[in-house]
Amino acid sequence: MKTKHALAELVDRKLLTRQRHSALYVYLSAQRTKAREQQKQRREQALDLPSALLGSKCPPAVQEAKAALLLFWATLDEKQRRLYAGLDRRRSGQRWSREPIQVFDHDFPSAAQGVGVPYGIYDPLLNQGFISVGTSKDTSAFAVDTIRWWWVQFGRQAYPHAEGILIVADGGGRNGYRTRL
Amino acid sequence: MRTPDYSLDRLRAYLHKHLIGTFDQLRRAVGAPERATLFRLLAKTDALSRYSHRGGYYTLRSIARFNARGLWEYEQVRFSRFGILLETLRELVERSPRGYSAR
Repeated sequence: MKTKHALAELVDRKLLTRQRHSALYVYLSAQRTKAREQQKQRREQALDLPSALLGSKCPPAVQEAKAALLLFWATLDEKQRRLYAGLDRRRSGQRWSREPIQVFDHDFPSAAQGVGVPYGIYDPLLNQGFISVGTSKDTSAFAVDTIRWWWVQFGRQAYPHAEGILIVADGGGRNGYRTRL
Repeated sequence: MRTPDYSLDRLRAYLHKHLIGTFDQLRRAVGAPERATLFRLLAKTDALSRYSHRGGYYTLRSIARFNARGLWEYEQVRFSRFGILLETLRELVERSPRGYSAR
């Protein structure tokens, strides 16, 4: 029996409760008061994840030291692929026209010259976002290249004493756990 | 015909030596009793069965070294202080400060 099936059975038997929390099903106690407390703690944790990673009671200097050791909390999010340099090309640049320029209402892959594959990194400590746009496929190698690019260009300057990077990413696709690079 | 006597001591000795054992291994160690007989012997001890895969492995509660969550793993076989998978999950969720997701 898989864990998720066992959990579903426990919910069916009303031995546990299940609630949706940030796109995840969370299994909580069947006792209402206990479940409410668990929900409250989960909400607080979600609000303060960077502090939780650092240790919320640390003074700023210790936080900085910890950051130097380990800290980079990144959110990698896969965005929609876009066709580029195809049909929108007619509108590129600035020009004046007395009549509206006719364009297609769809972007056709056959007419496009390629796709743009964006990959975003968010550094919550610095509150800075970075985005890299690939022009071929949505692969794990591209994700790794983007992280390496971020580190070389920005990360190692922001965290010169870091000994490791903590990456928080959603699973699946190029961030999937099955890929080995 | 004399009724065969299957000893609990042989069962315990086997588990103390090997720490865990499958049902068939225990059966051979005790002297190949019927299934029901071995189940009765196991019930007389503080035996624990593996909490997944339909309890294919057995150990003694006194052998297991449970961690803070009440779990013990030996050679990729996992045992729980709480018994079967359902009870284990229930206890883990009940004791957790924030509940658990299945992922």
